[in-house]
Amino acid sequence: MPETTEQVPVLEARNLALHFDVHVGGDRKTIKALDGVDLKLYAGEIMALVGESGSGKTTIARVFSLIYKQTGGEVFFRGEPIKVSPRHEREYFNNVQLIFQDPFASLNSLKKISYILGRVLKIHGLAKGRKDVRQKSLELLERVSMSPAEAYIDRYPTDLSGGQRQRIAIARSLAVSPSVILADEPTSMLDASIRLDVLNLLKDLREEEGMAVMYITHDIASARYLSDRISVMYGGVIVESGPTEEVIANPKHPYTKLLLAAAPNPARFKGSGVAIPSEAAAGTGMDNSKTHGGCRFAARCPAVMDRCLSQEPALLELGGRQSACWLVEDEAQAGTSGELVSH
Amino acid sequence: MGTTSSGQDALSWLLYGARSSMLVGLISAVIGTALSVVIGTIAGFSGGAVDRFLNGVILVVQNIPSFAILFMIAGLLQNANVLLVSIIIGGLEWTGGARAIRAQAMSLRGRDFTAALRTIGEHPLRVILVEVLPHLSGIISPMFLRLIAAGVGMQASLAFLGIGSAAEPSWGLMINYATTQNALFNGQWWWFGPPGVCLALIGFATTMINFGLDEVTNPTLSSKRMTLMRKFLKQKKRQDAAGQPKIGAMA
Amino acid sequence: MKLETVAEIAHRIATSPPLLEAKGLCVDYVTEAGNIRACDDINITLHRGEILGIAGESASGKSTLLAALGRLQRAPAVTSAGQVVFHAKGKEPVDLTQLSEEQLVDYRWSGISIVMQSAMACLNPVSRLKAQFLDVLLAHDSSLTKTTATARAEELLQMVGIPSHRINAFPHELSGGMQQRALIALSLACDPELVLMDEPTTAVDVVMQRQILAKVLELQEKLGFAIAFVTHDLSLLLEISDRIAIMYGGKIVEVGTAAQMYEAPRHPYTQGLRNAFPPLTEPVRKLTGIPGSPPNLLNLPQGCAFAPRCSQKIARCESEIPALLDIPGGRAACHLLTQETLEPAKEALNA
Repeated sequence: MPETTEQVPVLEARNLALHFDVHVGGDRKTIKALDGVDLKLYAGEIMALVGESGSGKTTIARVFSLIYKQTGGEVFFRGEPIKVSPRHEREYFNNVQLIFQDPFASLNSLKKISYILGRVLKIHGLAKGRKDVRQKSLELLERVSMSPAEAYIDRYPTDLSGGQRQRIAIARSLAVSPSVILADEPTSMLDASIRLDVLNLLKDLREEEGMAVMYITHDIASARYLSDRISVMYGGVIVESGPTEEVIANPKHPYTKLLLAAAPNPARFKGSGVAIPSEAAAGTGMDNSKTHGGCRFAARCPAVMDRCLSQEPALLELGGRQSACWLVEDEAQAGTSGELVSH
Repeated sequence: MGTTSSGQDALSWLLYGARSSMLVGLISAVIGTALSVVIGTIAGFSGGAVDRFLNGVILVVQNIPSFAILFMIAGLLQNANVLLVSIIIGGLEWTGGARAIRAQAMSLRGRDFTAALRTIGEHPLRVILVEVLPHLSGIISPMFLRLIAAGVGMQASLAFLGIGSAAEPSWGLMINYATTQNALFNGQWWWFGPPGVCLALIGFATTMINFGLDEVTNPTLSSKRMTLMRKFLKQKKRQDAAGQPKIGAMA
Repeated sequence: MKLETVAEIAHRIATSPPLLEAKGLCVDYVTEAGNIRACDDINITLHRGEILGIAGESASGKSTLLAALGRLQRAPAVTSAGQVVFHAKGKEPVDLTQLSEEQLVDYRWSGISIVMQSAMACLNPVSRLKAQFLDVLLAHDSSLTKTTATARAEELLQMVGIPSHRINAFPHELSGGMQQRALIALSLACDPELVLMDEPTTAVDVVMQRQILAKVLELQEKLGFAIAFVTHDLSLLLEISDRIAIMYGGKIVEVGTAAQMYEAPRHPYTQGLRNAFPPLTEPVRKLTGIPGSPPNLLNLPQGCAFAPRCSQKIARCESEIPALLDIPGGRAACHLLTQETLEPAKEALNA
């Protein structure tokens, strides 16, 4: 596992905010898709961003891939603010690539694989002449374990399965040799038995090429399998983060505990005598237009206190782990001391 | 077939008229399709101010009463030739197709592959022309065929009303002369009947071609599938009636 | 909620009378490319009050099977052979495949109801919930008046945890989880004996899924209906099902209790599928999925459909299709099991 004490994170967000104004049935509401997010991704690490839909995890990926523009806060690449002009965009995408969720929509179904891969190579001057382009395209296919590459290069995406299409999408991203891959739910639309192949491929890319991966998902089990560090998002903010094994084994934030209790766990099979924690079964949905100043999770929190309804907890750093919860802070102050990371 | 009141051969008129009618139909269809594809794609794909502006243009032109304009133009330009008539027709008929193409382009814009192409550095214009346009071919071809029929029909109406060259024979002109010469009351069915039938046939033919295209592009609508289904069910009924065991082979 | 042991579950299933039996059921898709056999020779019995999970991936035939069980398949799918025998309470057992549409009405909703994947696709978007519930209730029970039916509809909504005043809402005014729960309430409107569920929680988040399932299981225990639950998520089925049937390439390849499937799956596909779900509480180790892709139903291999992807195949697998045979604890369709004892399967798991 690589050192995470790199001085400069390869991708960073500071106080990132993205607010949408929507009109719902006559009322004007502000949806805070992101509301002050601090995030750091270091070179060569795999970070998982876990949350339900509406938590903001996909929004962060879209901001980092320049599809959305933030309404507040800043984003940095290797310490430099990311500029959104055509010239800088090209250079940025040379280093940061995005894998989309839907393998059936992210490839142009009317073009052959040779065309799809060839275009990237030609645009970035990575291959010249038909033979060179074809040769390098075959190499890309081999890199994502589509063997024998010859069998796939002249096919159309519609001839391939979801898992194969996803690997083609990864191959296309690899063409520019990026240092960061943003994987936005890359396996949620794939069959269960082929998900692991895609996840293992991402892991191998990190081992072999030192690529940083931001793995965005709602599935905490696969996040645990793949990542070194995990950040849990809720209602547009990060509520807990830290090394994956520690967060999973010892979750601090009530929402993380809820996620872990709610996720299907085969070890709790019917007849095993293990019950599903009852707090997993209670509660209502997420509301991103909350206006009261307290914790976003207060409405669903089984451990809610009065303070939670009026004051939003800051992200507390404690021994390499961060959580935004008044209960955690109280417990910390009663025990060891921790430093408050200003929000 | 017979002759007109002025002694001209109706059949010759019909055959010569076919040429100018079809020419106008084709050229106006080409102009109309080109305009709707260009404007519709750029509007749908660009979004924002460009889309709003172009959408406004589409709506304004769509709501212009075409016949009124044509009348005015007829007043200004006596004896308009084939090309001019085609341009006028094409220039007024493109709007319906443009709206359909704009809608399709807008939905394609939201699809991941266009965003992905941006991240690999593809130029937006190339994305529209090379990557997105082929997806629209499914609605462009039927649109083109429909415009042919519409163009032919419009030209006939125009000629009937006296717009267009009085010297060039066309079906509409035939009907025009037939009307002014009271062919209906004189029972000269060979004068106005055939051109009318020909116009109807063109419309019918293009619609049939569109149906055929639908079979290829949209398999669920396929009539072949429905026939297969009927055959299968008939066969099954026969099997059941013949007392064959219903329980499938148990290995 | 009661927590049963493995023995209690097995006993309950064994003593429960059959509710729905599929015998030699075959479903074909009639296309220009030929007749695609989506479900081949399905033989399975669902017991009264049982929760049967049906797991499989693309091209497994699980959704087709579910639709066929409820006589809900649409063209080009056609039931080409076999029977679906339904043992309704107080009525003679009847083969659903032989009934006409009029005769089926007696069994629809009051006997068998269905919950489908996307609530927004099932609920009428321009009609309030009240109208949709009344529609169903009044159609099936002529003794109800509008008032009594409305009261029943409100009761149903409360049963699934939706405040009764939301009955006047349009579907789009409800959140995704609530829509799905409304759909479940609708499926229970006529006290069915069997509820078919086709990926009912796939479209919602994991927390909402847990809430919905907890509610469904609570209602199942209270009202006693059986459930046939189709999903690709085997880890979920392991938690809620009494028995699980695994489908591959249109056939059932293994049936067993949840405990059986978790601890000692016999069929190599089940083993691979079970290993495809990363653990949450056990130590993390490298897992591999199953290499290859789901089969092309138009071009199935000569022998076992899973053979091309199977790491344990023998020569026989490529030429002969294995039959679904009874084995201790369930059934499995695999040549390996006819030749040796259960030991090889355990070895494969520990490898």
